[in-house]
Amino acid sequence: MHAYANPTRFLQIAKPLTPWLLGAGLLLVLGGAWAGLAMVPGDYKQGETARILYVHVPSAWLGMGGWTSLAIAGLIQLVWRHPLSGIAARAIAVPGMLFTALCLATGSIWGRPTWGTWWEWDGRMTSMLVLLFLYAGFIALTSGDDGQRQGGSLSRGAAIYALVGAINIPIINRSVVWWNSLHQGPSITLGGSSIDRALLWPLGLTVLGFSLLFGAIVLMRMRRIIADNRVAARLRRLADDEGI
Amino acid sequence: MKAKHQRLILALVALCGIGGAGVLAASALRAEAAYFRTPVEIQGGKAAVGEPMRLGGMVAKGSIQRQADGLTIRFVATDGKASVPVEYKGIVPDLFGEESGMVADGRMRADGTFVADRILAKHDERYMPPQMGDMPKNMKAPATT
Amino acid sequence: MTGVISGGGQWAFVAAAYGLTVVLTGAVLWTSWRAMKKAEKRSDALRKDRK
Repeated sequence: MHAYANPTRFLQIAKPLTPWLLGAGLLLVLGGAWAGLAMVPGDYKQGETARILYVHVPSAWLGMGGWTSLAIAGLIQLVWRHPLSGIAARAIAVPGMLFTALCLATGSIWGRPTWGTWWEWDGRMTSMLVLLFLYAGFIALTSGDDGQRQGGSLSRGAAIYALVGAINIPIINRSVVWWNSLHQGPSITLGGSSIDRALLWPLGLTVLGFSLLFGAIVLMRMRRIIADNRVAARLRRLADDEGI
Repeated sequence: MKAKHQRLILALVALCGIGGAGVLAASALRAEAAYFRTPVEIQGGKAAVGEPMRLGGMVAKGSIQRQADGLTIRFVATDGKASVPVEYKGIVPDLFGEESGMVADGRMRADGTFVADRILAKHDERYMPPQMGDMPKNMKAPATT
Repeated sequence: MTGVISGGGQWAFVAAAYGLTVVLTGAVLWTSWRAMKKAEKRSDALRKDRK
């Protein structure tokens, strides 16, 4: 386990991986967006507005997937004290919050022409808004602490907060099943997809593309934290040397 | 090694506790977090006359009637088990239509009609190209709950 | 809050959703990239100083 804990070894992989993730992610997102906007027909009922699907669904997936990985990083931090887990959790928070906000915003823009409202307090929308606040709380909790002195690791409180917040993820996922809601039920389930194949394929491109971009953002933010830690550690060592 | 195992067990116990609390909270919210009431619930006596509430259901086939004033519409909202007549004065969203879901804010009148002051369209989880939209009506999804 | 939106008006909502996605994702990508480059430059410079 600790073989991969070494930031140097991590950087050996992360540095060449970052531009690949960025390039492939951008290509897939642009291709998927082009397909979703220009190549596929509109929906039989909603018309053109259904094209918002291709940015709304990847945002929802990454907002929720982001917190899931943040909670896993928190667990690894609590149990194994893995040096990279806290750095990963810190790096996930901002892109996770970005995509949660995008999910809410694109959903709102979609809701106005289809449902007839920008916002309603139904189970799905309320639980997604709670996720946005959870991210904001995590960022506030970790940006004010002395993370650099700890090598980027999380405080116990922040790690537990990440774990406790994870309970919201299954609630978001099940909200349209447990409670009747304005938001429709799940389109894509283990049993198949109720999105017709002709409209589904660009979604595959954008989901994969945004996921790669998410990965690229996390890697860039992790590299930034590691570099800052090294600078802080060297400055401390220099100060100690001069003190002798 | 020992401390690590201790922390792992502690974290797992904490996770189970959080999960249990979440399930309890969700089941407690089950009735309260519903966004709307269905016709069955309203006929089951869950609706006092004049109390503000939200009704959700499918618009029954062939039930939309425009009144002479051109603004008021009447239709029947159904959940497959029960139905409630609805009256609404105003503009409805584009997606509002027969055999499609809707959610209405309003209140019950003494004669058993639901008087809506706002109507939202609810769409289902299916997306398909327009040429497939004319498929036989009997392939449409059953009433939402 | 209800009204009729159809035809060309729908594209305005689509454009708003896509535009917002591009702007916000682009901003986070750009700031993350800039911050990383700056931090790694500082770290490398300090390492050369030590040698």
